[in-house]
Amino acid sequence: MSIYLPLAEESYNLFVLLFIGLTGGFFSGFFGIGGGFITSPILIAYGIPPTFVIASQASQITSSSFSAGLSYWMKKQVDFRMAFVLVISGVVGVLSGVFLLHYLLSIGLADFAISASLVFVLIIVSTSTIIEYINLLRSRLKGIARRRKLHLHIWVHALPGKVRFRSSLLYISIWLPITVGGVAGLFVGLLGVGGGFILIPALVYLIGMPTLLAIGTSFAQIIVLSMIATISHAYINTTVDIVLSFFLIIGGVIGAVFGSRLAFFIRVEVLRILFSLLLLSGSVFIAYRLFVPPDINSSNLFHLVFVQ
Amino acid sequence: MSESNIKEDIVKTKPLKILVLSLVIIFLGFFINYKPIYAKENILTIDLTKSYIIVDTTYDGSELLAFGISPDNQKYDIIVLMTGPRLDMRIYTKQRKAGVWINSLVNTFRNIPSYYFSTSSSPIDEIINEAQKIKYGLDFDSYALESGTPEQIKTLKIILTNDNLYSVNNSSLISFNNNLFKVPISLPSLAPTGLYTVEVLAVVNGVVTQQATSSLWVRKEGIDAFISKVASEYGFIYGLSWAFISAFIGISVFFIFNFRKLK
Repeated sequence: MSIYLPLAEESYNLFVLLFIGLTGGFFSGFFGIGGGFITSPILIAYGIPPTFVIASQASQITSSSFSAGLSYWMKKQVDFRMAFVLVISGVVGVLSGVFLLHYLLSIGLADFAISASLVFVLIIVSTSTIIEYINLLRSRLKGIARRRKLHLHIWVHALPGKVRFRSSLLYISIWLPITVGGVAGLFVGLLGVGGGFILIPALVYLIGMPTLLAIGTSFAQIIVLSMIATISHAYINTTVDIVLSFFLIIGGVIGAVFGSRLAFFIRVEVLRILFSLLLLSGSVFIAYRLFVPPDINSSNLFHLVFVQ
Repeated sequence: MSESNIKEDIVKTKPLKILVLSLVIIFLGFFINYKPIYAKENILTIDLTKSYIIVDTTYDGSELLAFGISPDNQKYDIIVLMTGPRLDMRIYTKQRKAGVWINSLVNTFRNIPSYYFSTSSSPIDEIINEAQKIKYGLDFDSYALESGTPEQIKTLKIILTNDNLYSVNNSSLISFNNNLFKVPISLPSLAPTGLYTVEVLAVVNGVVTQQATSSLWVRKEGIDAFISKVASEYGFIYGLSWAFISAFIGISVFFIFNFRKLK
């Protein structure tokens, strides 16, 4: 059964769309990650124009971040002061991402930029998962958790413009969260992914926030940024296809529920490693495709865009 | 009143009566002898099984039939042509830059039929010359020559063919039943919305002698039309409300699945 996407102006198989949404939701529920970087490349590979994928994905992130992030808010694991700084700088990032995409589209480089940044994203996600796992193994082998300082102080914390973040027990330069928030925002605007994969490690390792607080705060940022991304994609590029977005949301919600339920019964850690290796190979594949000469006879050597 | 006056009156009124009477007879005769226009000989007509196509949520392209009457098909050849709304098109190709293959713009074509379908009862180059082809829009290249080189036009045709938006067919598509003909046409879901025209030309000795046209509207209707109208005209409100709807869905999902825990 096919369904016509009113803005992308083409029809696609309804069940494939739902299935892709389900897959993204399942992994995000199972591993506790945002599913954007899984669904985006699959949807693009399925043939939906990248710009529609990215813009419609943004609202899927809003809903999945709300359903997953509200519990952190209820447990008071959100540093609102930090979130405010991250949102303000993130908005600049989102808007630059949206305009950058608009520009890349006009010169026909959007596909390349999206593939290249996906490679980057997938490498970051998979390597950070693997490092995390190795750290976990190491602390288990030693039997005791290493005693550490609350957080490391490095030179970036000492830059001018120091601000106190009371809930995070931090007194650091404001430029650090501004930079981090801006970069994460750029990913939201340009790639339609949540940016949590870059924000959470940065908040934990670079800024030195406690992990749970970092996750809760990043959800707060992602919720606001993805909503702003939806609005600006709709306003600037007219690419938010709510039919596509609706199926991604529904698939994502159902998938996430199943994924998180299943995670109770299965040891996630080993699977997590397998999953990150899968992501790593995915990124290698995408990178490989960028370097390999296209098939002269294939139909995707050329492509056509109607200028409305 | 004198006799001569009466005679004069008769003389005056008689032609009028005759005129009225003959008009009535002609009028009645038109009805009595009415023959459908297509029954007349040597008249070329064309029509489509649909006069509009509604693009809605379940739209997945459309199959239609062009049919009509051709004049004596021993003597004439017919050409059927369907074209879509004229649009600007950009074509890109993969090019190697700094080791990576990226899309680069090949050309922007201006005012090109977004859909092009033609078929003829004999190979088109045998029945009509180049000047006539251009005159009647039967030469796709002539649409594109102003904004592209022959090489680029060749590429454009390959892409359009792959997307089922361009096809020049042989005579096998036209089927005749005496002087009735029909041609199946399929419109892919990628074909843009707008006004499509279908034309039939009767050709004899290399000259187009008759021509008939019909048209087809491909338009969005219902919820899809509403969505694309709101999205393009009120983008900000559209984005804002969808952002809040998705937020609402997320919040509801949270409360539905954490209901027990929250208690």
